[in-house]
Amino acid sequence: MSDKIDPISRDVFQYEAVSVAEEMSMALKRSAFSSIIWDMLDYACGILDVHGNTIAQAETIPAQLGIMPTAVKRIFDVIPLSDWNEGDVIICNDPYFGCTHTLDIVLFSPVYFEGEIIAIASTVAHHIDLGGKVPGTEAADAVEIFEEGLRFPPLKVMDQGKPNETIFAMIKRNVRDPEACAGDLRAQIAGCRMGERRMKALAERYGAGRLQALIEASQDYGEAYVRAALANAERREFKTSILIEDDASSDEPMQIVVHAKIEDDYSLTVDFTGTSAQRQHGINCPVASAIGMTSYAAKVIFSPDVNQNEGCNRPLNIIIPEGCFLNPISPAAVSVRHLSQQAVGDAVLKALTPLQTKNASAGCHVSFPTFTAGGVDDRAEALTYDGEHPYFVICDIISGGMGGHRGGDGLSAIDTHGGHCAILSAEVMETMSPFRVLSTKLVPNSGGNGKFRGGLAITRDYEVLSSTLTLSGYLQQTGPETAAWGYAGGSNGAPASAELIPNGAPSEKLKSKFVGLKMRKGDVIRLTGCGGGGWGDVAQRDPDLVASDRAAGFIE
Amino acid sequence: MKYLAADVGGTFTDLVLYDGTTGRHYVDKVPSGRRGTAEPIGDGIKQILEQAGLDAGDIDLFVHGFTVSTNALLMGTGAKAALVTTKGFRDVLEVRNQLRPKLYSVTTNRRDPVIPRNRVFEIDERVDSFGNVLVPLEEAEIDRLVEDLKKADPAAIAVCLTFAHLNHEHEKLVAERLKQEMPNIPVYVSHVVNPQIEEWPRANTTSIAAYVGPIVNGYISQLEETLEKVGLKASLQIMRSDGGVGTPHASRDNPAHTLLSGPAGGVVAAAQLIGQLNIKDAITFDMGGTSADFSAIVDGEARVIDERSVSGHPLRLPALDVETISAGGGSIGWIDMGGALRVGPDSAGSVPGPACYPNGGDEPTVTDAAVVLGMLDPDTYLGGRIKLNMDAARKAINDKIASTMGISVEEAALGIVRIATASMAQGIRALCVERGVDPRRFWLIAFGGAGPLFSGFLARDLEMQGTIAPSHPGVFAAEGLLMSDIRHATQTPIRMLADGPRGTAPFAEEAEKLRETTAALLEGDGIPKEKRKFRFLAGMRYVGQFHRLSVPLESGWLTDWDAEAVKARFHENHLAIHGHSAPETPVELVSLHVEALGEIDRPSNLATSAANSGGIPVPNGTRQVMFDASEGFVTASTYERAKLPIGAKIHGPAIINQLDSTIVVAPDELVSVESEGSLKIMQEAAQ
Repeated sequence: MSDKIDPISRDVFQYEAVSVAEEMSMALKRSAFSSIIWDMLDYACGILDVHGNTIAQAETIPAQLGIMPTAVKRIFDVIPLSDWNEGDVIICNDPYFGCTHTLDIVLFSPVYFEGEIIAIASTVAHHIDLGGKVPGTEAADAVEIFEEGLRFPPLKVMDQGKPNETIFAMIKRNVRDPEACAGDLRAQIAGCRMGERRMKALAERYGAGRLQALIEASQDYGEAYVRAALANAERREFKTSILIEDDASSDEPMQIVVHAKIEDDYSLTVDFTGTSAQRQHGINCPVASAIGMTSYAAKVIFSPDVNQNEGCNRPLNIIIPEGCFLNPISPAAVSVRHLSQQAVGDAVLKALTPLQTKNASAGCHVSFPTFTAGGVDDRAEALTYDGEHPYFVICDIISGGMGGHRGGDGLSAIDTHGGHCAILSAEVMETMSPFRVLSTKLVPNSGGNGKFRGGLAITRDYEVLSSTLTLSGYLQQTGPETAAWGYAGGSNGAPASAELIPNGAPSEKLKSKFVGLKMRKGDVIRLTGCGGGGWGDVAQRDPDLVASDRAAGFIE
Repeated sequence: MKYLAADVGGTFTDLVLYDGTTGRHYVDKVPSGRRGTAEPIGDGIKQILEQAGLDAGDIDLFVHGFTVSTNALLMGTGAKAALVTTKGFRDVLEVRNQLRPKLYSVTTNRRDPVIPRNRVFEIDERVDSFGNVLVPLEEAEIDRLVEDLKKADPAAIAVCLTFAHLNHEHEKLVAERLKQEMPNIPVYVSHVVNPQIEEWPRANTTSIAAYVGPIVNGYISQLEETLEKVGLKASLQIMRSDGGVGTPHASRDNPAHTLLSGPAGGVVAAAQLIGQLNIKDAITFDMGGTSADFSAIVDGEARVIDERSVSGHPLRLPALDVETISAGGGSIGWIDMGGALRVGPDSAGSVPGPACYPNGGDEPTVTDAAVVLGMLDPDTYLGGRIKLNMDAARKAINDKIASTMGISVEEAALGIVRIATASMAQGIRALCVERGVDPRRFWLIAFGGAGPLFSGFLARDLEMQGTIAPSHPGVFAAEGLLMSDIRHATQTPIRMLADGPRGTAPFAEEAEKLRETTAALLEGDGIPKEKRKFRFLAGMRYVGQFHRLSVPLESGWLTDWDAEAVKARFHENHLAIHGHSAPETPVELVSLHVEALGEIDRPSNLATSAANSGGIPVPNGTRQVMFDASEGFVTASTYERAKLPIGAKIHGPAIINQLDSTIVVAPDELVSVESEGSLKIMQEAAQ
């Protein structure tokens, strides 16, 4: 198969393949409309072989890692590759067709060379709104996917180079910001086209036969790397579980059970059997996201420095029973799956940590405290160019601590795992919406104790400045049972919280999901992330570290 | 007129002297010596003056590029600084943007903020998003602050208050009091250092100014003393990150402008060189010991961007758009867990250095590969100053790579070069796509010690037009220092629709203020009125967008607004940069920027007079060089660069040696010696 490829040619090709994916990523980002792509990098680009297996992927947001093969293989059932013509682009965003939540639109396009398909280009992007129940489409209290906006089964959005106007017309009448949606979709298509051009250029350089051999050689390398890393593991097997809040359909938390085992052939089985059944609201996690976050966790522990391709996933055997909340049955709602998806990453890392402690940490914040607020900005000076008070929508996501690890303390104030979301600048927030950020502070003592302590969480106070607005939000890790876990004798991080402080009234603690709060001028909402877990016995902590923590006020 | 430039690098300080009266051009290199001292400059100046037979008093202009500020920031050895923030914002440097340093790692650490949390002081005051004072700053509050600061005893103070870019009344009050109470401590205020929205980048940029300020001040004082000792009376200019120069006074006021000046000289020189060669589009390729810098010059202009990140810390100041990747002569080749050959990011640096260096390390580097392949002559490297050890290079490559992979030492050496080239090609491709240009249209300008060694591989891989090796690749960046004018830049927020009425002057007052501010700076620099130039730009965006584009404004538009022309230029820029525009969507202006240039007396170019043209190039020997494993070693003619006649053509394979660099010409390449002394290297088929 790949025996005629010398290793150096293979390694040069790997740079070239990653370069194709990175160039797709640049092309997409450059022409995108929305800041969710520019600033949060909530998109992904990759090239796949004709079997739908990854050749290379650009390094963007981890939540999108490895969802393309899951999706394309389901799409093949509906539109077989033999029906993909040159210039076609296939669209899909259906969680029940291998995609994630409806907001993540997945595109695929064939790369033709000398009349044959030699590869597939793919882009995924998070769109800011696809219609549905609430602005931004994500509703924690949605009970069915039908409340989660437009759903595209596998369709040709571009047919031999011509746009499918029916699809664009449907988008225009069904989403809240049609210009941004169509603009970002066009940017995705531009990304696919870049991938097609560059893969074709590689085929011209190498010839189709040698290109195929290079692809196989690099996938074989990915597999060899991961198996070698698995062979170096410190331990073979571990079973664990975590709890996460529901608070929308039930007060009963959900459990994720993970049994990780390195088999005799140096493959890794990750089995979720025992995980709670699906729930009746949008916290269910589409199976593609659960698979993606499992790949993420395995990469963090075993192969953080290697380019991700299908070979890296070959030694990975993921078992997620149908009907559990990580592989829900249609029409279960899934739109706020970031929470459960972050929890999947956390649970798998908790199971893998004892297998290889070198790249591992204690539990990280996956609390994801966020809110979206909207209304009319009726501050006297807030006027549009037409002299009217503008309607605004604003969203902020705050961070927490990372876990301590065997080489040091966890970092403070970090958005972890699947996410890569920047905190909104207070000055930008106050310019764009009737909020004032009163403070953004590290939370002293919030990192779990240990030989290496967890990173600190942050807390942010937002004061409402317009006479009224509506606010919804969610978070998790709000109690001692769900907070970031300590490892090897380290303590758990301090839990996350959300509080409402009505103007002049005592503060009230909010549940982990809060929908449609009516707020008035002078009310304050306070979000606090979860601190990271500690690593090792606190008795072994270097007294100098304690002293410097005290001097800086990280502990009080 | 006689001009002198000195560019400090990690190992060597490069000097260039240009005598405008004779057209003669001198270059020299001296060891940079102990970090952060100006003394070696004095030795270098004496040395090059001697070479040129000139007196220190003959020199009219001295331009200096230094790295003390950059080193202090990278090594974490800056001053003990303090930061003053608005109440509630003490943790602005700790929280940052909450992004992690490496996406697929839960253990990677990051740099601590330049000012630790216990030297950040809050004061009770608040300005709102419209610039109104919400909480007035009381005198008693400043008293308390002064007391706290005196206790903390900082070497410099940064002040960054909320919305100070809209209303700097409070920052000014604080700074004035601090100057009275702590007169010897420099104070840097955010509305001067970076008058721009977003508290973290602004606070961080201001904090970095305070962190490096005392070090820059100390260095400049020492430099002035050294120059006085040498007897230099020339005006002193200091290189800035944006490709301009500044007076010592201006550099003291905003020391952060020197932070990214290192790669700027080469880009400025390249822009000048391609102008002489009538080339519009080029990519600069500056490869040294530990890293390679790239920059795209499109349509003759190097791009200035307004934010760069240094070790994860945002620096919001105008800087030439240079990408750096960790691939240099010292980059180490190694084999990973899956059996792949990798090069870098670890580097053998200058200590211990490549295996082939005297007292070198035992890790195989890119330089070792070049020695094994015959590209570098062990006996004449750097003019024979360093003797390279071929056996040590072969041993390192054999032990660490060839024997594990089961290939020959030469194949492994070629592998190292191919992998290093592939990673650099990836960097250039990304840079081109991001800017929406096609590398095949571009020339590669290769400089730095190692640039012209590998540029041929790179240009071929990227199917570029060819390579250009300037006359003195090793001191090219220093030459760039002599090609820059004085620059100042500042900005102010505005808010208006582009659809202002024609014939009006919608932001005349703001523009005049910016002009006055920068004119005063040029006045302080001693630039007469007729040598001052002002260029205005507007930060523009579609209504509803957050990100903005800087669009140059015609000077006439400031008094005679032409909405249609302004909008057309914005749409055109948006299309060029983002690949789409929306001519129906309303456009707004959100900031006004001024770039003030002060022309100084400097050479218009550094062309060497054509001493020897029309001759036939004569090789001074041959070397065995390997370009391709399947073809093995081939015989390459070697030439001495200084003896190449203008207009000559050389067919590869060839090696062209000069004191500061080695140029490798592949078998199917043709070199032509251009009239101003640079070499153009292209594939024969393309001629």
